[in-house]
Parts: sequence; C-alpha cells; structure tokens
Amino acid sequence: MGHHHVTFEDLPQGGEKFEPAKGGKLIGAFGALGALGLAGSAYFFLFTKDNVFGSFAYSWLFAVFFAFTIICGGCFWIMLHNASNSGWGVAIRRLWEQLANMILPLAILSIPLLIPAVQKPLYEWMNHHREAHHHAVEAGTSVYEALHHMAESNPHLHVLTAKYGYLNIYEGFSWYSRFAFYFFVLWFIASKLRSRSVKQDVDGDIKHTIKARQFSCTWLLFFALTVTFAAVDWVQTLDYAWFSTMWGVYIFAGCAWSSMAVTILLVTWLKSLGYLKQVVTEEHFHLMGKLLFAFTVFWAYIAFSQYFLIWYANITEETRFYLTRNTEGWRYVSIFIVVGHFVGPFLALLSQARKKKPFVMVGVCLWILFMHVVDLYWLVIPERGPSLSVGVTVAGAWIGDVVAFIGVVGTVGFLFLRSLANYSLYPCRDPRLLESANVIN
Amino acid sequence: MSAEAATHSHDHAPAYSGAPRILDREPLVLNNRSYSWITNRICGIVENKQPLLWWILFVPSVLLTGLMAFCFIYLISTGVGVWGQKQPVAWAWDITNFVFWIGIGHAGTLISAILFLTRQKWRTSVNRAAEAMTIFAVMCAGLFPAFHVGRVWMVWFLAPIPNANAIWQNFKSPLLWDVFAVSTYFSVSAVFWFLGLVPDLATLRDRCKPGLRKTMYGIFSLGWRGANRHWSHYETAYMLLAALSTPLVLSVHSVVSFDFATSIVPGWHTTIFPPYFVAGAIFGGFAMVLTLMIPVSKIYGLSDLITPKHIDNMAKIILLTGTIVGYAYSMEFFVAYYSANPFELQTFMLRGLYGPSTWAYYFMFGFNVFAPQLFWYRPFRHNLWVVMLVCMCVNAGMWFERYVIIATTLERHLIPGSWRTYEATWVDKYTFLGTFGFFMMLFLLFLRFLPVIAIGEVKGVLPQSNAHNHDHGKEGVQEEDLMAYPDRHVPREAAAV
Amino acid sequence: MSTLKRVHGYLAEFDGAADIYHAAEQVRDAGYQRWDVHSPFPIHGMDDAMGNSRSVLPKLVFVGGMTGTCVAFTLQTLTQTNFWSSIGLGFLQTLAETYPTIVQAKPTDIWTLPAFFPVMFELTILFSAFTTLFGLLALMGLPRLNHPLFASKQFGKFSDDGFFVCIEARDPKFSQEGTKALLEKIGGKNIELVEDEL
Repeated sequence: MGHHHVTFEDLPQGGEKFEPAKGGKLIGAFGALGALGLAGSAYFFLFTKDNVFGSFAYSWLFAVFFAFTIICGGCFWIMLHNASNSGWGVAIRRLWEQLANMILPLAILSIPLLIPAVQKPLYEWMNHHREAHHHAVEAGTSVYEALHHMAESNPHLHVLTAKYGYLNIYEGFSWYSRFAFYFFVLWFIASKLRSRSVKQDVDGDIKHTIKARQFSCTWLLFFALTVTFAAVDWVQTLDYAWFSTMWGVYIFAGCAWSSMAVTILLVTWLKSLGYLKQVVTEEHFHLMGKLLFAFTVFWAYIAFSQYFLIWYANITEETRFYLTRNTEGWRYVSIFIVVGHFVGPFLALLSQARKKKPFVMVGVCLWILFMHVVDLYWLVIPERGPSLSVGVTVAGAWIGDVVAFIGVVGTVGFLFLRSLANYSLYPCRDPRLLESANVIN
Repeated sequence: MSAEAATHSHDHAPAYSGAPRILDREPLVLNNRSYSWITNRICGIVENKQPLLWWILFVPSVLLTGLMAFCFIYLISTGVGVWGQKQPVAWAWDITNFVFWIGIGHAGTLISAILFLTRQKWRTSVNRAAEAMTIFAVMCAGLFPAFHVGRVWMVWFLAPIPNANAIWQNFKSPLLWDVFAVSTYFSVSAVFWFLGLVPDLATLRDRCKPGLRKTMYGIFSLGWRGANRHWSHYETAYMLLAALSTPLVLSVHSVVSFDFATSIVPGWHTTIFPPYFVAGAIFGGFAMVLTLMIPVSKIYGLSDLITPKHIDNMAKIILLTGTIVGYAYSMEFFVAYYSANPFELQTFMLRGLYGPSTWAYYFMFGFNVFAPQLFWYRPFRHNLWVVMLVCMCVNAGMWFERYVIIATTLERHLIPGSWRTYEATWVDKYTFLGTFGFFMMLFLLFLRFLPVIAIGEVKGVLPQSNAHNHDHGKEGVQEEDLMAYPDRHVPREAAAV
Repeated sequence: MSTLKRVHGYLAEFDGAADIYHAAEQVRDAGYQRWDVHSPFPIHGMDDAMGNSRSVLPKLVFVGGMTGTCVAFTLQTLTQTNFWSSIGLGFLQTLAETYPTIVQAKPTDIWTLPAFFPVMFELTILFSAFTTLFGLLALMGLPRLNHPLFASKQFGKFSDDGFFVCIEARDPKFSQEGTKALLEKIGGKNIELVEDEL
C-alpha cells in the first residue's frame, strides 16, 4: 500500500493559498478571450439589427445558459456532498463553492435577456403578450382579455390563453419575477454555504459542518425547482407550444455531468501547478471519474426516455421538438450527440485504471465539455432559423455563437480562476478533511 | 471510529486550539461486538428454536397463501371475468398489484447495489433481508400478469422460442419488454443474493453437526474456504454484479412505466414517468424494508447491528424519495396545465378535484408526500413507532399511487358515454390479500433457514477489520455527543464498556 | 487397515486483520507462490500484501455482455424488420420464418431500433450477470465437495473469527522445517501440518 496517512501535521496552517500569477497563462487566456468576446458582443448588441441581431440573441442565450448549467452543477455537488454527509470530497469542496458563487457575475451577463428587443426574436409568446398589452391599454381591458380577443382571429393563441397563469410577463409571479427568483435562490445557497465553510477555516467549529448539512437538505428542493423552472422559462418556452415533464431532469443531468468534468480539469490543473498535493490523491480522481460515469449513464437514461416516449407515442404537440432536431442538417447533430455524449464517454470511463490517470481524464473531460456545448447548442439553436423565418440555419450566425460563447465563458472563467485566490483552496479546518485526504475506495 | 476516541468525546475542548478536531463516523455495530458474537447472534436465529411469534405469523401466512391459490384456481376455472375490470377499465387491481410488488422488490437491489457502489457501509446490516424481500416480492409480482393472460398454461408463449405456428413475439410491445425486464431482474437478483450468501452458508456449515443440514449447507456453500485468492475474484464479481444491477433496477421500473407512458392515454403519457416510477419504487421498497426489519431486529435482539443510525439513514432516504415523488406529482400537474391539453388537464382534475375516486388521490398524496415529511424532525426518525407508522402509510400510499394511475384514469375515458366507475370484486381483494400471506410465508422461511444479516460483510466493516486502522486518539468527536441530542439512544459511556 | 496420507501443507493461525496482513507480506517476500490467506471476510489491501494480480473477470463479463447485446439485436431485427434482407442476408429471415409487419405505427426498417433498446439492454445485463457467476466459479475452481483443509480441526474457525495462512507442500520452496520456522517467525500460532487422506 503506497499510501502515506495524512495528518494535520502534514498540512500547512491555514490551508493553501492560490497565487494567480502561477496560473497566469490560463487566467490570462480566459481574460483575453472574455474581453474580446464581450467587445464583440457589445458590437452585436449595439450596432446590428434585424436578423443579425436576432440571431445573436440566440447566441447569447446559448452562451449564458451553458455557463448557468455549469454553475448550477457546482451548486448541486456541494449540496449533495453536504446533504449525504459525505467525507470524500471535502478536499475539493471549496472549488465547487467558488464555482457556485459565479452565479453573481452570470446574473449580470444575463441582463440582456431582460431587454424586450433581445426577447423579441427569442420568445414569440412575449411578442403576443406585448401586443395584447398594447390592445389592453387602448381598450381599457385586461391583458388576458385582450389575448383572448386576439385568439379569435389567430387560433394558435388559444394555447397562450390556456397557459396565461404561468406564461406571462405582466401579472403575478411573472417570467420577470421568476428570473430574479432563480438568481436569488442560487446566489443565496452559494453564498450561505461558502460563508459557512470560510468561517470554519477561521474558527474550526464542527457545528458549521452540521449546519451546512441541514441547510443543504432544506434547500435542495428549492434548488431542484429553480433548475427545473429556469430551464422551462429560458429554453422550453422558445417554442411556447411544446412541453415535456422530463425537461427539468434532462437539464439537471447535464448540469451535474458537465460541472464534474470542470472539477476534474480544475483539480488536475491545480495539481500541475503544485497545489492540493497532500489532500487530493488518485483515489479522488477515481471517485470523480465514477461520478462522471454515473452521470454519463444517467443523462443517457433521461435523454433516451424523453426521446423514446415522444417518438413512440407520436403525438403532434410533442413531436415538434424532435422533428425540428431530427430533420435536415440537425439529424446529424442528433446522431452525433448519441455517439459523442453517451457511447464515447461511456466506453472511455469504463476502465478503472483510466479513471485514475489524470492526463487521460483531461482528454475525456475536455471532450465531455465539448459535448455539453453541442447538447445545449442543439437545444437552443435549432429554434433560431424557423423563428427568424430564414430556413433551417442562419448563414454566418456561427460567428455570433463563438463571440457570445467566448465572451461569457471567458469572463466567467477568468473571474472564477481569480476568485480561487480569495480563500484557501480547500476547507483547511473541516472536521472531515483528513477523511477526505485519506479516502480509499 | 474507534471506541477509544468515543470515550474521550465528552471533554469539550475550546472551539479551536492548536490542532483542529475531527468529526468521527458513528459506529456501524454498537457495543464493540466481537466477530464471534456476530456469528453466534446471527447463526443463532437459524440454529435455535423459533420464538412463538414466528409460529403465530407463519400459520396465518400459510393459510393466506392457500387463499391466494384458491382464488387463482377459481379464476382459471371460471375466467378472468371474476375480476372487477370491465370496459373501459381493462386494467385494474391486477396491474396495480403487479407494479406495487415489483416496486417493493426494488429496495433490495438498491441497498445491495447502489449503496455498495457508493460505499455506504451501513448497508451490510440490512442488505441480505432486503435482497430476500426483493426476490419474494418479484415472485408475488409475476403472478398477476401471468394469470391475467387468461390461459396461464400458454404463458410460455411470452418467451421467444420458435414454435409450430411460426409466430414471433412483438418486440415493439412494452408488455414484452416487461417479460424480459422482470425475468432478468429476478434472475440477476437471485444470482446476487446467492453469491452474497455463499460465505455465510459456509459459516453455518462449519457450525453444524454432521447430518442433513450440514450436507445441504455444504452443497450450497460450494466448498467455500475463505481463501484470499477466492475473495479477490469474489469481490470483483460482487462489484460487477452491483454495477450491473444498478442500471437494471432503473431499467425494470422504467420498462414498467413504459407500459403506460408509451400510450397516448391522458394521464399515462408523460415523459417523466420512468424516473418518477423508479423513485417511487425505491421509496416504497425502503418502507417495506423498515416494516420488516424493525420487528425482526426487536424480536431477535439485533439492535446492536441494526442501530438507530441505520433506521435514521433509511428514514432519510424515504424522506428524499418521497419528496422526489412529490416533485413528480407536481410536475405532472403543472404540465397538465401548461400543455394546454384539455384532456390531460381534465384527467388530473378528475383525479384530484372532482372525480369519483379523489379519495384515492388524497390517500396517495397524503401518505407518500406529507407523511414522510415527519422525518425532517430527528426525534421522529428515532422513534420506532413513528417510523413504523410512516412506513405503513408509505406502503399503503404506494399502492394507491398505482391505483390512481391505472384504474381512476381509465374510469373516465375521453368519451363520457363510456364512463364507468370501477369496483373490485371479492376475488380481486382476496387474491391481493393472499399475496401478502405468500410473501410473509417466504420471508419467515428465509428467517428460519438462512442468515438474516450478511455475517461476513458486517465483520468486514468493523474497525478492527481494517488492516491499516489509524487511530487519531483524542481529536475525534461524534455528532451525537457534540449536539447532545435529547433522544440519543446509546450513551457513549455504556458503549465503551 | 492403514490409510495413506499426503501432506497438504502448513496451516498457521494469526490474531487479526492487521496481524495477518503483515504476515502475508513476509510470506510473499520469502518467495512462496502456492499459499493462501483464509479469513472470515475480505481484508482490504490483501491482494497487494500477497502480490496477487487483478482479477480478469471484468474482461470476461464485457465479452459476455456484448454477446447479450448482439443476441438481442439479432433476435429482434431478424423477426421484426427487413434489415437483414436489406444488407443481402435475406436467407436468415427465410430460415427463421419471419413476417415483419408494421405494428404500433413503427416501420419495418432499421429505424425502428429504439423500440428494441429495452430488450437489448436487458439481455446485455442478463448475459453479463451469468458470465459473472459462472466466470467466478471457474476462476475460483468451485464448487467442490471437499478440500484437504477441511481435514484440519481448527480450520472451521475461518468462517467465524479465525485468520489463517496456509502454505502448500506443492510450493517449490516448501520444506517441513523451513516453512514451519517462517510461520513461527512471523507470529503464527497453532501451527499444524495438514494431511490429506488418500
């Protein structure tokens, strides 16, 4: 047994502090790409119009939602680890805490989605609601009545009147209030859990661990509802007629999967810079690899079940989602997702020895992140062509997709890596730190 | 972790002085029991005479099994018409009971496989009984579809065997997937269970006097001699079976859910059904494990092995899965509204608000979603009466869930002219009652002849079984002591003796 | 009547998991090959202490599982689709007397494949599980009705709380004195020469 048993005497007092200068290259690259992307995005938002602008709105939603899933995943892993009273992941929990707290910068980056001009090409239902609002003001009726009135000449809008209780932008717990609510819940969870963990770094009180567990249990439900309805509000409503009860679970599976890949990449990077040497061992890579494998299978299970039930029952309202994505060029993307999102990672992660090799895992994780990008692209972008009435795809729109993607991911990535320097890289006085450092599975 | 650490725990050091402290795990076996104590206590159940209570339960179980047999014979000799289903309710108690029992059969594999893969060592005290329960529950489940085919002697037509009529099964049918899923599940669960039993059967063999018992245990223990070169392959095999069983559990109940969800019936066709059914199955299964294990633990004096911590963990899983089930119920309702499909919404309104069987919906929701919420409060998780009560609620609630999905959906079909409220006949009721007798009979026989707790596995999780046991001495504290819970069961001072 | 006896090997008892772990390391370092550790439960890390390699079972099971997938794929596509005809192997379908028909509004070409996934999955698992069981029995050389070690009176303790090392006489390094001395040196108790009746 080659393992050396780690005790507190082996670890530096106050944990390990990350020096951004050491990881300067990567941080710099993220920063540069982010700045470039943001500048490009500003150009698209401010100086383009019509279809170029409309097409960029989709790019931006795709990029923001991609970052959102990874941040949600970080939040999920802390909560799961705490709620299940686990010990193995204490040494990497701080990384998740920092990742989850990126929800604040992301909230700022998501502000364009609140602007009616950006919403116009994205959410057709909002346009109808705005028109109804206009009529309502003129006629002195309620928005709902106006919408009903519009539906008399346009029968497609009956669906919107039936959904009015949920899908609206003017009354009650509207799309806007929910938008704020999602960010509030995630911010609240992330900041509470990190502040507890950081407090423990100072006072070493074991009760923080127990309190964090209780907090995580309570807030898991709110987290689940937040991910579910954010996924519904931002992506499912791109086509207001389509629906699936599995939707939230599908998005959640991608969140957990991709953020575990980010975690493995991050830990490998930090170890290559000389950090976490004592507390993170090959056993952690094995454990994280197993969780990655589990979520590869879980995602496939959810994705297959959703596709399968809709394909098999063949009901018009439901099949429209897959008809868009299973015809024309998107068919090849669909088949590529089956192979690249499931079969490839499944076979790659099957072997125990491979999961323990950080440098093999880096390749696998990069591939997984790429496939997560493809998956979200495939969820959001196919709606673009039909919505803008320009056919299946929009020529040249990929430039906007790249610009938005590097703008959001570069910025969030830059801020995230910088934030690692704020506290110790691992919770240095957690009462389960040694259990984690010495974990054998 | 160690007893020594536990004794030091009540001297509360200041919050932070010098070395940080460690939060110890609670012991999995209380009172520092030795290997031979564990062997004697568990083998004793099989070797000694059964308590009177065993007979008090066994005799009615056999009688109920007879009742079940009578009902099935009556059914075959008369026709499926003796059951209560008539158009439009073509599926009713039979499929409800099938899904109910197969759901219960999921906790065994969950405890064995998923908890094994996630290194939840506490599983060792309950996995054996849960696996046995799985097998017996799947046996009960299989009876219903087999008899529902009508001519039960033709049931072999379900298997893809070339026959004189050159008829092949329709592999596109969810009902055929069921055949494959359930038979695979039964086979793999049986293999898993048997493999786990082998070392313990060897223990029983080595304690027996020569005779029939020794010969039988000898044959079934395969000549096991605890060799490490065997353990090495054995552990790999066990891990592989766990890794195979985990997706299998998910698939079985998903396939069961496909029976409904691939249709276009409002209330049946919804994409969340597969994970929702799986969560429900785990939920109901855990409730049944507790329903069985709490009395077993009390009757046979196993409370050092099935500790309050075990029950606490299982109660938490029930709380979690109950809440997931609640999430699924709510999502169904939400999407019934959000889909703007009037038939879908109507189905849910009839279930929950103004249909003929709303009572079943309220039982379902109350028992499955609200009752487990009691487990948020720790003293309730540690009060066996409350735990038993909630588990009974869940057992009943999960039956009502299937009843709501199946019978009450069909009662109100799309065309009001074909509406008919379902009523079960006495044959339905006694058959279902009879399966409980059959299940109990098998479980009691299991208690009588096989070790109810995995002896070898429990020994393996004792602190002294770790060849690299690092005692961190005075640094450790246990949560029980730290929080000074009012309902704490085992005083640390006593435990250290 | 005299019975012939053959020496099976030396059996020595040890005190517990940690004890026998260190003993195993020393037997391994002494260069023995045909020996084993007997314990009531698997001891973590013992494979390293004994110098065993990893089990080949996973590879067998992978092959078994793939067989299951292929069997299910063939069974279903052969009987329900025209796939085999379309790739020029129509005689297989004639052989199995199949009449692919459109049911559940699903086509008879290969794109009806998702409907076959459940059975493909189940048979993969079923074949894997049976490969695991029978592969395990083959690798362990079990079941067997008897074993020379069962002749030892004390050996039965292994299934309760006994920890034993047994060094077999078949081992080239085995010698009655040398092996016994080694077992004594590493702390073995109740050292016994186990003999097998012929």
